[in-house]
Amino acid sequence: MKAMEQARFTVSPYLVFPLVHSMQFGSEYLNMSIKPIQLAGHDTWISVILCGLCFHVVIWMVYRILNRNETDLIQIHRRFFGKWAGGGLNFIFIVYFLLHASLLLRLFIEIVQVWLFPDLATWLLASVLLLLVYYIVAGGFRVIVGICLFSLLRHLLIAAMLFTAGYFHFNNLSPVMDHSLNELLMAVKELAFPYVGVEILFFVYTFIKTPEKSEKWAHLANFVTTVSYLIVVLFSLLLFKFEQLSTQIWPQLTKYKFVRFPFIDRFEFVGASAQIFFVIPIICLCIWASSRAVKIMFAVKQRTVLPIFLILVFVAVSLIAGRNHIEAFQDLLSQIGFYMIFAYIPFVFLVDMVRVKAGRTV
Amino acid sequence: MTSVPRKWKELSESSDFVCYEHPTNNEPIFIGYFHSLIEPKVLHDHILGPLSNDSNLSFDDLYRSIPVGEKEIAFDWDTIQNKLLRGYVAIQYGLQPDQCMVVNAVASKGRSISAPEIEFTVEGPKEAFVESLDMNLNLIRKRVPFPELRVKELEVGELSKARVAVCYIKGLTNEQYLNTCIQRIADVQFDQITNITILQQMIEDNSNTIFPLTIGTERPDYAAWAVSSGQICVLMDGSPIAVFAPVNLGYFFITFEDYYLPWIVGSILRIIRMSSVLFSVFASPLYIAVMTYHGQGISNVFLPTIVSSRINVPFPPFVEVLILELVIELLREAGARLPTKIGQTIGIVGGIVLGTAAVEAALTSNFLLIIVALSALASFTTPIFRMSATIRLLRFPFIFSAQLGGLLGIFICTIAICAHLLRLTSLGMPYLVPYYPFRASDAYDTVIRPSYSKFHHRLSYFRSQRPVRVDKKQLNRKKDIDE
Repeated sequence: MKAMEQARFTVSPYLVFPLVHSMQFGSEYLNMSIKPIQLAGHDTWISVILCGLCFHVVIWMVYRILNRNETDLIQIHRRFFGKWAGGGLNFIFIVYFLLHASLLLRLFIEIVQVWLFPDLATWLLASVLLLLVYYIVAGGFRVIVGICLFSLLRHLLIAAMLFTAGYFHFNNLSPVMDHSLNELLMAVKELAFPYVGVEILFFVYTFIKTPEKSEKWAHLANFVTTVSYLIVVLFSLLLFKFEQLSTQIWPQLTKYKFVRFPFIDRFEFVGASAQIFFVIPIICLCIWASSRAVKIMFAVKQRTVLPIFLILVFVAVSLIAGRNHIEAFQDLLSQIGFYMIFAYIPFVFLVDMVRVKAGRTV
Repeated sequence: MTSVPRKWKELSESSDFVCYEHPTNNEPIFIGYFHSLIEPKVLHDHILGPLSNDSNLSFDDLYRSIPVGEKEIAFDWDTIQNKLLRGYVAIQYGLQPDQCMVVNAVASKGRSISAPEIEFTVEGPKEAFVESLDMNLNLIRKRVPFPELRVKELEVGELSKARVAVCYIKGLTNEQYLNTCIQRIADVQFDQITNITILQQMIEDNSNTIFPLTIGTERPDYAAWAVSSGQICVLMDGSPIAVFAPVNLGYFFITFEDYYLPWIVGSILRIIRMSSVLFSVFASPLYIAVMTYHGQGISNVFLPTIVSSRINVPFPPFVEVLILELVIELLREAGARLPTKIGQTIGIVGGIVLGTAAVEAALTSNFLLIIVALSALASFTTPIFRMSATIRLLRFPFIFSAQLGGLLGIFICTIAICAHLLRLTSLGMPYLVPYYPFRASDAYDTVIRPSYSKFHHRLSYFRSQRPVRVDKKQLNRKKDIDE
């Protein structure tokens, strides 16, 4: 059964690249290196590569599942687990996406409060950004993907880090492979959260023209994400001593303090403001995916669900008060994300395999 | 006047309608026309001439002897009336006849072709469209002497009944765009359409946007180029502008002159124009953001210059910018509404005297004056008038958001504008093509206008039925050394 969208709503396969890449590359990368560095120290960059490889495997699994069923996860759930259990699983995903959007929004607002405007009220910025999200999501899937493509401009920020090269201490990296495999793998687990985002493929699959051809673009997206994270982590290790890093919350933004241009002195202002290019695409995609799931499950209009979900996110964001809350929230979500990627997707993959085997014998 | 046909009497309530009985021996001949619309010479020489020579001329003989191409025999009053209103002369035998001949005697009074004034060109042809539709069609057809160039004529407006001509090349222009365009013109519900710019707003995809979605040009060479690259060109009687669509955002920042200059020069001018648009939109908002929130962000080398220039200014940067931007807008508006010579004076008085005085009175800083004047200048480099108005207005949301949120506000506003642009379409074609959806094959004629050897394909987003312009191999045949 093919359940593809009308041609005028679909996007070309190559647009899977900005889509997956911007879904992965959220502003949680700013503090991604704190915890893994406690575990793997200056060998964290090896964990970054390992984690990237794991995600390539996951993307491979996702495409096997989707290509065989030729529909999105919402329908696959119903097909595999029946109406009620499948609906329950869909509901979990909806909640997950909403929580993800809330976390990203809160993380961004926190950065703004710390680095730019200390007196800014959370709800004020949240409402402005959610209005923006409403305008984008109401434009439909193609507009969201356009924003993802546009947000690739952020790589200029990553490139700006090259200006810090004068302060590198290459001794910080040696001795290589100083940590046990176990420590490296523990670090991989901690690193998984910034990579999370490939699950969006489950929901956008029907919106891609000739989706089978899009797999290489998804892999490319993950590859670019891995390389970017590698740069981020390597530069952190090269610039800071281990002890300094453990006292930083946003080493990435601190790094921008090293960047000097002839007439811009404190580049971290640009760096902090530009985090919006990392956040907006993810929030839009999350809200879009969750409202679409509701649309399919309950046959309601997406346009009616959208404001309700935005209000829910708004309430959630306003409720998360300070740094401790955010950290607890992020830990919770990174746990969910980790198990979703490394336990649930393989599980669905296995179920799919078993169904195919069973179907063949019958 | 008692004996003219009854229906003619109603028309003769307007005093410019002339109708009378031509004296003959047999049955009476009635002649009627609007003297405000016709050319008296045609009437006297070609109609009254034969009649006065031989007053017993029969209807058919008279019809045959009139040496005018556009004549016909009409049978119902509606046709006759329409023809009369278009400058025809009606001739009728008897009071209640079943036939009436109408002869074209329309006066072709109007401006003669002159040089383009808005889209000035140095090297291009010095011809611009005029108000007469036939003359304009002539200007286009002269440049595309191709049998497949089709002109479809429609009529818009209940009262204005303006003639609208849609030009396209059959077998080249995409049918879907063409049908959309014709359908939209046919669906226009409005009584008085006096200029094509009104029609333009009615046929655009989205009327709630400040971005123009079709281009109006006064240059026939540009219009001919557009038609031959697969776009649809719309002309209207009484408008010295040809509108063409579909277009994308990039089209508004190129002048046709780029195509007449060597490609390297043309491309550099194009890049300058595009970056000046960015400067025009972002310069004064960035000034506000920096002066209000990110003062520390400016390097020590640069900071003293800015600070010392506004040390005596009592206003916050936002008010300062707003005042100056409004002054510039005022000057521009005043200059546009006044005759050219006074306009120039206003420009000099406003620009130099007001500017200097404002700085000396410490109402504004030198630095900002330079920024605002430069960005006003930069906004005028946009060749399409509607777009340059858009660019000027686009600055204001950025100014407000810079005041509210500094650099972050500018970024938020950028994303919002971007989302808005992503939602726009022109005749159903995405507005941001070829950037989104990205078309690598169309990248050749965007920021850079490359050598003509790269122009072997028509731009794919026009979905032309004949995508190949020239054979690529013939175009790029290279000679070996010393060959």
